Amino acid sequence: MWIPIVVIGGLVLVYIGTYYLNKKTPIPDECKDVVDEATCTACHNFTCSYKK
Amino acid sequence: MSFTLFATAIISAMLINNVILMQFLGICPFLGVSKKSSAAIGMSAAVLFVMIISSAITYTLYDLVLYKYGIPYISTIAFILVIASLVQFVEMFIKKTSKSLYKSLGIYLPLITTNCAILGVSEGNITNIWVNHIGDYWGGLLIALSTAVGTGLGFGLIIFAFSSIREKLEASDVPAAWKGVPISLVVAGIMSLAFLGLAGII
Repeated sequence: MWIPIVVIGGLVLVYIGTYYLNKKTPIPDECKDVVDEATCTACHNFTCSYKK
Repeated sequence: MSFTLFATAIISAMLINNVILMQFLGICPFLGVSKKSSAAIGMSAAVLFVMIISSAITYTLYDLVLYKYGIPYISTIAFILVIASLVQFVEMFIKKTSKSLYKSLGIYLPLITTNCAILGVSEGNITNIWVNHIGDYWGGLLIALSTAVGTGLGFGLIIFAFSSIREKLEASDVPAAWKGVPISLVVAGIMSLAFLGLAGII
């Protein structure tokens, strides 16, 4: 009964940890423009107000 | 385990059971990130990279933990968490170690978290254990990795071919009603029919 809870709980904790570490890691300066452009290209939200 | 078995796994996953055209997985990046060939190549490389690592980890998790402790029913949710964590970790690792690699691959990594092709391959690998009666861990792992490589290459092949056709279509005189998504879907359908011709070669 407790094994699946431990496994899922452990994986959730791993995800939270990696997410936090990834968010804390800054994007390299020379990549910021590319990231913005790619985000806009990949997202097809027609109501988006974030347009350059 | 013979070389033929691995070669068969790669060719089968790449051409015959193509993840996009035959299994209809990964359709979102197939349609969304195929406007430019450069973006398609970046996405394919990122998918191949994550697919190989996630296949190794999910297969190991299933074989050594989930199956061993009699909890294979949580495999789907466990695999989703593994893939999501892996994508975060890989993105962070690339950010820190290689700026050039991040510039070409990193921007596509968050999109891979929701790419069902990765989850489909992981689930397919554990089904293989039962279908092909693979007994030992290492044999199963090698088959899983071969399938991941084949599927990733197949994904790359199709998305690159599709993006090249879409680039040509941009400059073509397409009737107004067919411009954009409609003609792209027609092209995808024709490509799928063409790949049906490869069914049965193995």
